[in-house]
Amino acid sequence: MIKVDNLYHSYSNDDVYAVNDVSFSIEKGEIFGFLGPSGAGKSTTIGVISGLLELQRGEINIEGKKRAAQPDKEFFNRIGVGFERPNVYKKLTGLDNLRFHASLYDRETEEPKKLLEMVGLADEAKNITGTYSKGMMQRIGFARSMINNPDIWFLDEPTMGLDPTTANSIKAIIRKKQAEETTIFLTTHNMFVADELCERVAFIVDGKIAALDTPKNLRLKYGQPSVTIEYEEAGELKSETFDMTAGAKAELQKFIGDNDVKTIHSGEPTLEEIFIKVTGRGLE
Amino acid sequence: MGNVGSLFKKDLLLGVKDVFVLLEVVFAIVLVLALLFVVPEDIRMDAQVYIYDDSKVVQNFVAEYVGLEEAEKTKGEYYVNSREEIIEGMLEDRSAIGLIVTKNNDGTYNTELLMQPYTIDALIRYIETDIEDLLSLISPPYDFYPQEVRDSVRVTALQWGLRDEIPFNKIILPSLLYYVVGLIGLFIMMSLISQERTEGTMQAFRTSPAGIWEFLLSKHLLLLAIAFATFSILYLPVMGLDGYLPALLTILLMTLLGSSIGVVLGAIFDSPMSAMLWVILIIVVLALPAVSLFSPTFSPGWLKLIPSYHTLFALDAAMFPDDNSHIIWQGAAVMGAVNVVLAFLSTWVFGKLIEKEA
Repeated sequence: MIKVDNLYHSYSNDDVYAVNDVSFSIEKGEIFGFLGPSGAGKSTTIGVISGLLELQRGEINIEGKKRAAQPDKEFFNRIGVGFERPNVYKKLTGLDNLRFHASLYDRETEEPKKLLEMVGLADEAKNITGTYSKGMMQRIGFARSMINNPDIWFLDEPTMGLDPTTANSIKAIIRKKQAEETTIFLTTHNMFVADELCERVAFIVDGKIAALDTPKNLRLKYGQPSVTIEYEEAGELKSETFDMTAGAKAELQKFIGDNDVKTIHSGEPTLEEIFIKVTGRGLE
Repeated sequence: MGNVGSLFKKDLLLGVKDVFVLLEVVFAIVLVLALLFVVPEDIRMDAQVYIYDDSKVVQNFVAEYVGLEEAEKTKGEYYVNSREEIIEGMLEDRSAIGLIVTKNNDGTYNTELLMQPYTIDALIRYIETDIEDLLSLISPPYDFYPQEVRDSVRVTALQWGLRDEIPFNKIILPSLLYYVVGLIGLFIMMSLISQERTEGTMQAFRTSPAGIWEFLLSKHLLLLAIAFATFSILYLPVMGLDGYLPALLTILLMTLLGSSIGVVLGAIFDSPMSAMLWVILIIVVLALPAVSLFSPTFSPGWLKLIPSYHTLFALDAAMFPDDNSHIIWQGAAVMGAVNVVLAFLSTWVFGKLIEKEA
């Protein structure tokens, strides 16, 4: 669906690249994620692919067709972009915001009221968005990004700043859209979001992709499963962690036999731990 | 093109809530009320003349032809008994002048004119001639301007000015319209664009199929609508329908010029306040031709290169028709051409600058 080859972007038009030789592809109906800290080049990549930023160097193919340096109307009719910032007209109502954006597309659009209901803002539809909380504005921006039923949906930090309940409902909408064959490219610095939603994840640092695979394969490749045992000793609850290497397994079996074991937890490394291992950097 | 309708509807909804737009309309209403009820129609002042006429020649002449009491009542001429009294009166009234007439032994007269400091030479010469003329009538030895010479003089102006007959509150209206309506396009356009940029709505718009030119065209249309409304608020109560359409055309063309400049500044600066230095500089340059309007003898060629020169004179010609309608159409043609070039140029520059914002 989307194939990106050797993409570069420099804001200063010199050799200082925000995106530096990035290549990847996304299949139709796939949720693909960019995981990386702030300033890693995630939003810039979305900006260039979605046509917001100039395509300076590299190639972008959509369904096998090379995307022009200046994308045409047809391209913009097919994409939706959700931003980290809310991007709403604060002096208009939530409903007017969505109605306005719906009027800009040359294809069938979603019913604004239906979208407001999906993001839990049906009761606020006729209120000025300037009176909304940050989370509510974020949801309006999210609803706007899917007003045209996009075939390709770019989401930049879709759950950032949202409370857990709202974040869950947003994630549910993303999964529903994926089930409808929408191709989704999201960026996040939240490992849980990447883990829960993405079929494949790319670790990006300093504009470069450091690793790209499914979360499961990344764990298998770079992580080490472990077992944590809680046991009682002299009336005191203690814990001990064993990795799952061949040598440690025997040691684990012996430990279980020798101690008053209370609980056993199997553990696998988080994406963040793997990210740190691969890139040497944290996600914040 | 269909998107322009949606964009205009949205801009109109936002515009009526924009503080600068509201200020513009309120300001226009306050100004028109001031023009109608506060600014006098006639601000001319007759200068006081203190006359010390030892010979009584002027006094008798005036008494004979006008009536002394009537002269003092209507003409502001006061007869005093000494030079000191004249100076005292002139110190009290800074617009007053003095005249001393004395008779020589040979029957001729000496006159002395006392003027306030900084009186312009042209006015002094004019009064001198007037006095010589008066004395030539009163006393034959001074009669070096015979009646037939006076009658033979014919004055022809290339354009007769009707200024003396136009009420003051109308005379100042072209300048007010120019500053309050014509130039405001620049400021409001910047305000509208900076709002879209700071709220991130510009970014969201750019991911839609609608074009940047549609985005800007809608804002230009909004500004024309605001200019039309504020122009009508200021113009109609003072001038009625006289010259309304050509004056409206002129001011709308000026608004477009300002809004095109506002487009470029709006892309460069984050807010109208951060661009204040540039805004002031541009407004000063655009306001320069007003000097020529108020002092028509000052009209150097370079001044005509400033597009607003043509607006100001066209506006003046539209409001006070004086066999000079060609100025209106010349001005409209120049401004129209400048606007076409600027509109394309500003849209291109805006697109290029905005492209750098993710």
